[in-house]
This record gives sequence, structure tokens and C-alpha cells, in this order.
Amino acid sequence: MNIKSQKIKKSKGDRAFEIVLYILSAVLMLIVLYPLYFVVIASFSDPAAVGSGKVWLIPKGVTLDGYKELLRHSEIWIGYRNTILYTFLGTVC
Amino acid sequence: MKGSLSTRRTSFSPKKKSTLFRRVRRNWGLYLLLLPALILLICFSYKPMYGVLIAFKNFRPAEGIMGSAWADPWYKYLKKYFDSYQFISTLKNTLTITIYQLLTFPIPIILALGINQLKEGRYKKVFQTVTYMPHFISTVVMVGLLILLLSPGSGLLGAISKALGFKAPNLMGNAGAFKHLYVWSDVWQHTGWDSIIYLAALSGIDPSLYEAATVDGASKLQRMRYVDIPMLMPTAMIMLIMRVGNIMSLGFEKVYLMQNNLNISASEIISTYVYKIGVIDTQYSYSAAINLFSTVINFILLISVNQISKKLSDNSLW
Repeated sequence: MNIKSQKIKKSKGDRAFEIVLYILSAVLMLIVLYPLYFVVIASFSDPAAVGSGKVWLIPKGVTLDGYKELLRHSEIWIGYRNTILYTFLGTVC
Repeated sequence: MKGSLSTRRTSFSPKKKSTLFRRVRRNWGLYLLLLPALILLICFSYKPMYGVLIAFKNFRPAEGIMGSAWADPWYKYLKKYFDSYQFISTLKNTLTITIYQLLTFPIPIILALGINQLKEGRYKKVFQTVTYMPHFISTVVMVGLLILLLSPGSGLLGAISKALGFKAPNLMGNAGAFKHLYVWSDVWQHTGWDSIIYLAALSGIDPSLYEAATVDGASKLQRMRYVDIPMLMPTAMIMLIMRVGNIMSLGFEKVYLMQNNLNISASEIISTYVYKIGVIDTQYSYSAAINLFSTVINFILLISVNQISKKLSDNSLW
């Protein structure tokens, strides 16, 4: 008998429980991650491709137009400034 | 602590009653430390509370809270709310959504039990990080994401139903789907984060309990059932009471952002109604009366749940 088999053997039930647990956790992780991933790839993709549901796993027609548009809006920067200001002052004071 | 101290004192000298003044004089140092918190509470919680008077007055900003005339009769605005056609629907929507949300309360516990069973290592760490991630999305972005993903034309839901060959439902515009969307997107977003407190409670369990259970031949599932769950009960009860505490102050922001003309019949809750009446229509007295009503209900609920929990499980907030 080698050392390995001297460990307490896992029962069949425990084995099954572990397998189910790992499968469930993987599914859960996918459910949480996919929407986040979808938003990221959609932001890089061609709006028409997103609109017709062609964007699934990889971004289609990669553009940075969305981000260029974003940077043009001065409201965004004012918004960021205010957010940081309120958070900073609210935490410090 | 304080109570037992004073009773011991009175047992020595039964005639001298331990008054508040006497206690303060004896432990003045401790009370001095309490003072800043007390001042803060008085200034920001108790002093503004007299403003609730406007629920019983014909409040006009120019005349001030004290200067405005009393409503005639004093319960005029409460009655107005009870008689309005919005009363039943706002109350019903608020209660359905909050109670539905309260029912999802065991989910973080289940998640924590699951995480606790994963082997220490990279996979567990990645899993925890991933499940926490959505918590850091702000409400506005979260609702934007929901609209984006669920839109029947573009969006993930549209794509899936197109692939499966049926017409995509317009979930955001469906009054019946509102409560499910609200509650389950909240579950999606916060379950991982809410499980942290239970994980902390689980890590505090004495390992000898597990060892004893293993020696007795308990399977993993049985160890979970007979060791983990009983040890989590006190934490779970406190968390439940705290959630009941804000049952009526259901997240205003998210409901308001998710509202549209199509689902308004299911999404108009008391807080959004108060906002529309009070801030947009500037009917201050009426909105104060509505809010007062929901606060009173909340208060009663909190006290009853606390009392029930005290009777059933010896756990309570006070």
C-alpha cells in the first residue's frame, strides 16, 4: 500500500457532490461574466453588427467610434470631475 | 452591561435610585466619548424630523414650516392619499417587489456554502472575484446594461430568440415582467457581495466540529446541513432583520430608471410616486404625508420581525 491510498477515501456521494459543485460554479461564473463581456465587445464593434445580433463571442468590425464619440462630449468630463470631487470630499470630510 | 451595572448598584443601596444624571456623573468620560455621535444624531436626524409636520399642514415655502397653517382636518393629506386611485397600486407594487426581493434572501447563503466547499486555490479566488464584480457597476450603468441586453431588436435577448426562431418579447415594456427583472438583476448584481458576510461567519466555525462530524461518518452534504447551516443562523437572522428594516425604502433609483410608460402600472412604487408628487409637482405636504405613511408601516414591520426573531431564535437587533 502506498501512502496515497492511506488517505481517507472519498465516498461516492462526496465525489458526486464535488463534481456537481464545480459544474454549477462554472455555469454561475459564465452567467455573471457573459453580460459584462458582451458589453465590452459590443463597445468595440460596428453598431450595425450589434444591432442585427451578429456579435456573439468576438467583436465584429472593430472600431473605436464609440469611444471617439464619448471623448467629444464635454459633459462626460464634467461628470467625472464632479464624481471624483464628491467621492473625495465625502470620504475625507 | 450598563443595565447590570446599575442593578448591582441599587442592590447595595436600594433607596438610592440610579438616575440618568447619577450614571452620567459616575461615567462622565464614557459619555464624553459618546457626545460627538449624539450631537451628530441630533443635528442631522432628530432636528430635521420636526419637518414631518408639513404632512399635517398646508405647507407653503414662503411661510416656512412653523408659519404655514394647519391642514383642515389635520389628516387631510393622509386621507387624500388613501382615497386616491394610486394608493392601492403603489402600495401593492411596493410590497410585491420588496417581498419578492426578501424571498431571494437565502441565495447568498447558498452561494457562501458553495464557495466554502471549493478547494483553496486559484479557481476559488477567480470564482469569488468574478461573482463580486457586478457589485461595482453603478445603478445607472446596470439599468443601461439591462436595457441593452434585453432590447428585442438588438441586444442579446433579441439575438438568442432569433437563433431559436421565435419573436423576441419586449421585456422592459412588459408590466408583468418588471418585478422579475428588478429582483433577478439585483440577485445577479449583489449575490456575490452579500455572500462575503456569510463566508466570514463560515470561516469562524471551529474546525473541530467538522473533524468530529467527519469521524462520525458525515458526508459533505451532511456536514453542510448539520454544521454550516446552524452556525450561520444567527448571522442570517440579523441580516434578515436589517433587510426588513428597509423594506419600504426599496431602492428608488433603480426602479425610477427602469420605469417607462409601458410598465408604469407595475413599476410605480411609493418612493417614485413621492418623488413625482413632491419634487416634480411640488405638492410638499401631500408627498410628506405619503412618505410618513410608508415610514410608519416600515417601522411596525421592523419591530414585529425583530420581536418574532427574538422569540424564535434569540437573535435580535435590540
